[in-house]
Amino acid sequence: MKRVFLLLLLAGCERAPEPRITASTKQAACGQASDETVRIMRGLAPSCEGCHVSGTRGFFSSVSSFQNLIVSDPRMVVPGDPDASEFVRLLEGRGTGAFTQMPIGTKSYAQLFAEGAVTLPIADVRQWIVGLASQARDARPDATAPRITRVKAEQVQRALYQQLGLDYGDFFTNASDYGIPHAQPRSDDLYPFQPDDAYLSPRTSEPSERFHGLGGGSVVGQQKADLSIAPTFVLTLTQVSQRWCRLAYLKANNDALFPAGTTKATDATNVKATITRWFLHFHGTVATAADVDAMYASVWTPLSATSAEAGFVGLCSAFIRHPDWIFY
Amino acid sequence: MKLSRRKLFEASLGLGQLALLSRYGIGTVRAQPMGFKPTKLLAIWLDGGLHWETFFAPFTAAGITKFMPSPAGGLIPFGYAPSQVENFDRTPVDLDAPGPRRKWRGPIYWNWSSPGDTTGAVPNSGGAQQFRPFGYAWADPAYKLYERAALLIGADQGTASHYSGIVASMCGVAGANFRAPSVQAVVAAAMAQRFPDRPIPNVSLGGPSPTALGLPSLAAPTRVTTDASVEPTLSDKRDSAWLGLRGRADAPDLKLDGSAGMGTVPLTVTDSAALAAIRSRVGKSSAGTDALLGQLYDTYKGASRTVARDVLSTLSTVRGFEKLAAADPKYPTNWSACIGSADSCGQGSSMANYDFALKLLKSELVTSVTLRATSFNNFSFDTHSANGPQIHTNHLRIAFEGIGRVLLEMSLTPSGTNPGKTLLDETLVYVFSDFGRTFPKSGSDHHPATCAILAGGSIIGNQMVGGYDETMNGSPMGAPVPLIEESGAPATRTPRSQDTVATVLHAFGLEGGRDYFIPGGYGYFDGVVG
Repeated sequence: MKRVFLLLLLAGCERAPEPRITASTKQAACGQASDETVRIMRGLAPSCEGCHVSGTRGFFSSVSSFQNLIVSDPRMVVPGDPDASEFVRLLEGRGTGAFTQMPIGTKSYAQLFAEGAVTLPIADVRQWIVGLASQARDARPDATAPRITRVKAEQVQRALYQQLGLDYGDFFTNASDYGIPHAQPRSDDLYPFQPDDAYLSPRTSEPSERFHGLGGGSVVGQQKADLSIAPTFVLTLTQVSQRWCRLAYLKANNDALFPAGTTKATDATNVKATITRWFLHFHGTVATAADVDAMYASVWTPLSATSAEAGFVGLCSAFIRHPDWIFY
Repeated sequence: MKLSRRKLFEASLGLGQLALLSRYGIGTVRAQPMGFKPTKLLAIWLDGGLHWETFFAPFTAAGITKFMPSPAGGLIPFGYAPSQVENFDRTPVDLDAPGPRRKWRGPIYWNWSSPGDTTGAVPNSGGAQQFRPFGYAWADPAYKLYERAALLIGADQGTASHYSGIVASMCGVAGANFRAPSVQAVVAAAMAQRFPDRPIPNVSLGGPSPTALGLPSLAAPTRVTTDASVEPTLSDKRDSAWLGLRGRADAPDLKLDGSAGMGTVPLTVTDSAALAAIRSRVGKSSAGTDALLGQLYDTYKGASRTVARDVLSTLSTVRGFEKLAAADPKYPTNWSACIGSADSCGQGSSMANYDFALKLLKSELVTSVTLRATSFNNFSFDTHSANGPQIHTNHLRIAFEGIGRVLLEMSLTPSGTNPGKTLLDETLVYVFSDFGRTFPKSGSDHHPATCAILAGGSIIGNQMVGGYDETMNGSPMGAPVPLIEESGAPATRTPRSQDTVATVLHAFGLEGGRDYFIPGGYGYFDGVVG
């Protein structure tokens, strides 16, 4: 196994040529920054990270970013040849792209150095590139990275509308203020929610709190979307799933949960058939008999003792609160 | 002279009010003994970026003349002369005294002898300004709130972008995303072991979410913007959602791997099903996947405890503003403020949901509360307009008046857990904004040098630490301040947003490297925390 890994590593990286300067400045293994690269990055950071610490050009957000987005990019750095490196040209005010100088402003990097605003001389940057070995990005995936992400607020609403057979009309009526149409919630007890960007109206009482509780963002509200597993997400999803499942269960002529030919009968055979169908409906998975039996015993049996409605609403909610529904 | 003024003022309070004050045993807002640390955080975000320098005057006389407009504005006063600056404690001001520490001082627009006066001329304004009462709550000698507050001046936010600046104020590092947990989350996580009965440790009442980043799920923010949203979010009261589903049983607290944990969790049937489903998915994919499943698992358990705790009933027994209005008729619960004679007016209650924040803090349900605050009627301090500095100056004083009243209420509220202490003693109040603004002579644009107020808790009050580099032109950056660096070494340098955040955490007794980490290095303001 170790040999296979080593072969993969060698295949992905060019063999480093002999260093032309001291061994201590030699580029480290594929995709990793050398000590000299780290020193150069730190030296440049005070004049660069103000703009390049985050976002799509976050070259200075970490050593890894600097290594992979600058050092390993042949459009920016040509190992061994500072004059052919756009990175150096930018620092010297000779850039060939949209920007001719970095840092932007009236003074070149050399002037900033002369005035003491920065402490790393451009000569060090040039020398570093002279000593750089051939670079290659590490294309291997991160084995520890999460393979799942949770549903967004918009997806929660859209998926539940479809899966529960609910729609806009179940929650809102059309209204108008000053001739501008908007959605008027029928009742908060229906647990309506909408992104506040959906309302181009003078109204200020949009039912967007649940949307934000589920992590939804807003352009007009300058609020970023949040995909973390926050308590508000869990609390809101619990409440909404239970309320909307009941709405769907009680909605006349709603065949989303109980299609034509199926019933709400409470005998074990029918309930297990419903559970089997709902595994496919909510999770897109074909349930095993064990899965169905477990859901029947753990959710249906205790809740149906109160009422069939509680049993079915609880089952429906359990499918929505399930990790296979929340993550994809 | 000053003594007699004070005597006159005390006399104007009336015997009844003095008796009420003494009944509560709190004649003034007392400073805390060294070593006492807060356990709660009230983070107040003033939306838009502030002209701090219009309320506080950390300048030399020459600096005031250089950077501030001359007094003007009449009923909407702005600008000030050196002679208008007074210490809040009424001691003589020495504007040119060297050093980075000054007493709380600023241009005084109120009438010390009659704080409600809105008709007389502001002394030393050359008749150009009329009295405005707002901001007096901080200087009121009956409470001496300034003795509980420190102003940290001139921190470089590293940005002049709104969201990025808010992120810098909350986690120390500017950026489009958090690169460290917010102070609210760090404090919530740190207090969780000491106060496991606080079911919603990190509550946000609005504004950008105080994210927990890599901290345990319990420190992640719970967003509840109003009292009315508590019921359909944190309780199981509504039959429409909970009929037949609200039954709970105490189940053994299993860990994510299925092994036995400590104690029990009050779970509904669907809670139990969700937890079992999560446990069955662990160990089948990457470590990152398991981490996300673990977050969901822990958050489900925390949410179950929250709902079982019946937060709604607890909050229904607590009142927000109550002590202050009862103790002092100068500060009624329902108050309003106006710009000018009555050019623009609004209710104190429209400035922020302070009442709900107070309820949460008094209820012992929370560790951190974050809220968005403004002046009245959803005013934004992002005042780019031509008369921006003038309007801003007046709205800022109104906003500070509102915050001051919150702190006074807290100072009059006995602690629920620390005998002899008040809610203000056990709470650190952190007032921040996105950034500063260009100084009034340069308009009102975004400016990276900002300030922050730390009040209550363990703060050594009546000090403004730092100042501005008065050799600069236009809008100056901060001047060097004494800091204790991450290494423990003392240093004197211009502060950055990391340093403000580190000082907030230091106030809770938290240690860098052990309890938190802020990318880019940090120190805390020396001499601010007792």
